Formats: sequence, C-alpha cells, structure tokens
Amino acid sequence: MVDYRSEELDEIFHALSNSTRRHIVLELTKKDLTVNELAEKYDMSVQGVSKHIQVLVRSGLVTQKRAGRLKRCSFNYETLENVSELIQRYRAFWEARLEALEKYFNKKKIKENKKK
Amino acid sequence: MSENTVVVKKVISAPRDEVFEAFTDAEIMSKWFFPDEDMSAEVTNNPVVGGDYTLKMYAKNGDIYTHVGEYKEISPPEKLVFTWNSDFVQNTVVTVILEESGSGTEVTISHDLLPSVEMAENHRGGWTGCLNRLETIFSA
Repeated sequence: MVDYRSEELDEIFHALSNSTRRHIVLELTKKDLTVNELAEKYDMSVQGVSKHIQVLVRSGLVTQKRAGRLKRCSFNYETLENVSELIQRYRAFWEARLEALEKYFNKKKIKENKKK
Repeated sequence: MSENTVVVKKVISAPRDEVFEAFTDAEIMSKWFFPDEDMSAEVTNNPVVGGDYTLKMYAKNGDIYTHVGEYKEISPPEKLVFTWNSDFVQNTVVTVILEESGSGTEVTISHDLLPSVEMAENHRGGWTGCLNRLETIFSA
C-alpha cells in the first residue's frame, strides 16, 4: 500500500481544482515554459500566473529551475503518478467490493434454496 | 465528474431493492464491505440525509481502517450519495446508481476523488468564500 500523506493529496487536488491551473499543467506537459511565457499565453499578469505557479509548486506538480534571469517551470510527472496510483487503488477497491457483493447474494441464494 | 473520478460498474444478480438494502443496512454491509477475505468489517450508520456512517475494516494483523462520512442523498432503490473520508482521502463523494438490468441490477459506483468544496465549507467554514476571493485576485 502506498503511503499517502493526505495533506499532500489535498494540495494536489486543490491545485487541480482550478481550470487555469489545469491548463498550465497541460502546457507544461508539452514543454517547459517561463512564467512570462505562460502569462502571454493566458493573457494574464505575470503576478497572476505566479500565484497559480506557487500553488502548483507547493503541490509538487510543477518544479521551477532558474535559468539565468528567468525561472523555467516544468511538469513533475512523479507527483501525478502518486495520484494515478490512488485512483488505481480505489478502482481496485470498488471492483473488489462489487465482487464481494455478488458473492454475498450468491451465498444468500444458496441458503434460500436449501430452505426450500 | 472529472478525471479524478473512479467509475466501476457491475451487474449483480439480485433485485434492485435488495441491492439498495445491501448498501444501506449496516448488518448486511458488514458482510461484504471490506477488501480481503480474511478481513472483517463493522458498520454503524444512520441512513437518512444528513446522517452519518462509520465503517471500520479490521485486518488480520490488527490494523483498523476507519471510514466515515455523511449521507447526502438517499433515493431508494436507485440512488445513494455519501461522503467518504479515510486515512487517504478527505471530503470525497461516492455516488451509487442502481439500474434494473434484466432480472438483475446494474450497479455504478462513482468516487470523485477531488475534495468536495461543499463539504469543505461545512467543515472548515468559509473555505468556499476564500476560494472565490482567491479567484477574484487571480482574475484581476
């Protein structure tokens, strides 16, 4: 079982709960961009984009590297892997629940048939 | 629904009202609502809108996994919505839809793993307001 710190997940999901941030993430999966380049793309102020980037950096979804005077933002795949692992884990959990539910009804039917 | 939603479906060969009961009756739930054969579960619940449930799963090694939540919608025999809090996720929402399928019931479980803003509002007071304000700051 993967050891998740729920606060980390809260940060990730909070970061992804905003459509602008999801768009930023999508752009960064294609190529690394500076805050200025992102601001131009979204017709936003550098300050506005910076705030979104800060949320994304805090969640671990985005990392920043200084390249000369500019900071390049890149997407961190590892963080999203944690999320997809969680999704996989819950998929397996619910699939197993439904199988157990079916077994419960099968057993119940057998019992009822014996009574007849 | 978002990309963070887990959706699983299965046709269960039992009538819809019985399947609904299996999802809401604490005694029946404790017979199947745990992940492994060698585990067991204990369920206490108040299946009314706004009522709570506690689902404890006991592992063989003594570990206990506690899940708690609140019922948001109870519409027998077709729909059940409850919040889901565990050691791993908080303020998430599970929706169970039951549809008749031949002599059986098709069960669709959707678990939205994005924390629910509505729940956060109830529990943390004003969190939604903060988020809205945050939006205004960003869009300024």
